[in-house]
Amino acid sequence: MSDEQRLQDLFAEVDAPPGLDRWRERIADVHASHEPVGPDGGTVTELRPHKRKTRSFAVAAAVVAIVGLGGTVVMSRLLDDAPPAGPMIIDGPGRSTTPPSTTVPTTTTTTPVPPSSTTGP
Amino acid sequence: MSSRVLPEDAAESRTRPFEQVYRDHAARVFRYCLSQVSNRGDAEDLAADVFAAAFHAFAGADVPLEAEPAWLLRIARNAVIDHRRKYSRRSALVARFLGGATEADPRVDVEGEVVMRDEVRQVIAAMAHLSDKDRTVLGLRIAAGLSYAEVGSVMGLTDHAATMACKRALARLQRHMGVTA
Repeated sequence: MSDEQRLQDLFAEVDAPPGLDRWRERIADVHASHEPVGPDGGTVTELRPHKRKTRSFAVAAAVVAIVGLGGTVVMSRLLDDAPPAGPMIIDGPGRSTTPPSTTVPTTTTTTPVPPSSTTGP
Repeated sequence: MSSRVLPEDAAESRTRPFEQVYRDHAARVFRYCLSQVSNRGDAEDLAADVFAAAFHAFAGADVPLEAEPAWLLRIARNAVIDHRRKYSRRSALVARFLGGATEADPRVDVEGEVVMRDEVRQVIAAMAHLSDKDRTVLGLRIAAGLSYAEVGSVMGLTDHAATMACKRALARLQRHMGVTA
């Protein structure tokens, strides 16, 4: 017999203690169903966990809330007719909020000047 | 209303009541927990936690009959990891404020082990000195009696890697127990 098998046999002698049944007390939502079994009319208790539906409800509610919130924000942006940001010319170019440009145009387009000839033909 | 299915039925594995799963695997899960925490009271608590968690997961898990041991032991392994984490955190706090030896020192609750044979106690005490991985592997293989493939399934290892891990861990355990191979 191998050492591994010998150790397995040693552990196999350890039985589950009755205190292990405490797991039943730790379950809050136990659904116990009693069914008649056999001709003697005895009953058996079967524990079955409830199907958890609360999570799907919570997810659906969260999705609705997020979509609703997003829709509200988008609609408020669309319907909001706030003036565009930026300088506004109120009373002509001289009174605009932005100072008039003082730079001299640096265009160097030179018009050909005809040579002045003082001497006539 | 639950349906009662005959053992011959091929669909039995899908509709087994949890009560039956508990009866078949209670001892296996308890032995694994005992091998990991070295204390009968803690092992009882831990195994009860495992079955409570398994009960809630069972409805949506659709566990085939042949996969039940590995499925339960995977839950048990996670419960043990959580237990160790809490235990080490608590012992670190105790060590910081009170000083001296920490609770993390591997000890066996010998007083409460009157129904256990001396050999089992010695094995559990020796396992407490192994690394977490060795201890887990040996707990699954020796205490819970899983096959190498099932050990691999729980640990996320291939069959070959699980086999090698079990053999190496067993050799280290024997060294701790003073047994020459």
